[in-house]
Amino acid sequence: MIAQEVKRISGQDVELCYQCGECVSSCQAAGIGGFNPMAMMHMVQLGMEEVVEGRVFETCLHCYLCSVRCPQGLSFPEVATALSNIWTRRHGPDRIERAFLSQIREKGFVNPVRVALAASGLPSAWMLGRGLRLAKHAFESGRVNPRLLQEVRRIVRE
Amino acid sequence: MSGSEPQLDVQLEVNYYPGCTGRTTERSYVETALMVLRDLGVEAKLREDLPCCGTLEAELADISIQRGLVSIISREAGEVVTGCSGCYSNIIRGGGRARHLLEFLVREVGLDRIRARVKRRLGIRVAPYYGCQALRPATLAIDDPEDPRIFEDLLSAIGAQPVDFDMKSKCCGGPLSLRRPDAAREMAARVVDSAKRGGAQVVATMCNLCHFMLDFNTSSLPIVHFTQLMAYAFGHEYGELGFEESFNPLPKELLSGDGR
Ligand code: SF4
Ligand code: SF4
Repeated sequence: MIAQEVKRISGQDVELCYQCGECVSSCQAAGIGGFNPMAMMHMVQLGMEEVVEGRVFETCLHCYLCSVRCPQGLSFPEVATALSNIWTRRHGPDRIERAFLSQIREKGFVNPVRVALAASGLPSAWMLGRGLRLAKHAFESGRVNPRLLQEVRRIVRE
Repeated sequence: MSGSEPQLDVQLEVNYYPGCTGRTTERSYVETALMVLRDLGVEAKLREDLPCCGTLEAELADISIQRGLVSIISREAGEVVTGCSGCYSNIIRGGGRARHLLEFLVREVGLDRIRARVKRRLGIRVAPYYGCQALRPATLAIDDPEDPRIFEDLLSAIGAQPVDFDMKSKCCGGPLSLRRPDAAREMAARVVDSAKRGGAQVVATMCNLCHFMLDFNTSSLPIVHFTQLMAYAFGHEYGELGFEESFNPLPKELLSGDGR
């Protein structure tokens, strides 16, 4: 059951949502690729699989504006995180999560230029124009303590 | 909390957490943050030895990764001070302890001590861009989650003129910059347009990612880290502050407006 799984991961009880629309009317991302937090709350209540498989949750900015306005004290971004965790458990990290996690595993730190390259593929539009000026940062590998890096690798596996 | 008298004798020590972009694209933020802290008598240790907080992406993959990374940071450093709102939020939401640099400066160091250190008043109209991550969720808000004043208070203390604008506590688009680049760019542009309509001559940010998003994706106003303005007000030379690293550098002429 998706609702129970969401609750277990995030502590959010989606059954409390009574579809008032405060979240979607507060939301800067509403409408982008069909994104609608209120509708997704309903889909989770109804246990509709596509709320996980459709990955529309990934459009949430995690700006938490809806969370300070929801009359029921719910936090949609935490529901989005839970849905994302469920998707990742089924399919493994998506392309962008993978780009971040492999950076963290490798150096203990995220090089934003390398992440952008890994996530969008080469040659990426991101690296043209202004991006070229950022190329010099691609060689920064950070100074994370090697002992801590070992520990990071135990947390961020494979 | 600050008293009414500047207490220049109080010695504070902090662990400064730079954030990953603080070692690359936003290095001048970290450098000027350390300058400002030092000027105010705070001994700040730069903790580049600590690992990444995980960013939103680790949390999206598996919240236990976020918790695990944050637990390393907490165990090694206890409470950290960071200028990156993203790290600030991640560390707190992941179960660790963090203070946002801006909040630390205003509430711990205090506005009186800051005012006492000002050598030249800036006299420019600045849009204080808060972004989201240090204002919400409510449990970690450094001020009112929707109508904050703390950044304005700091800017006034260094002699700049804060302007109000609609997008000041809305999102820069950062979290979507790789998933939906077009939507993200549009959000960044909306922030700067709104600041411009509010009459700002420059946008000041208080987050590594916000700065990157506004600076990389727009070109109608100078974009600065708030610590660059502070360091200039404290008397540091324009050339030491890394303004030129920005795609939208603050022209020196703007700063000499009301110098004294
Ligand atoms: S604001 Fe809260 S109760 Fe209202 S629709 Fe959104 S999640 Fe449901
Ligand atoms: S946290 Fe997500 S759903 Fe809520 S207002 Fe922000 S973008 Fe919209």
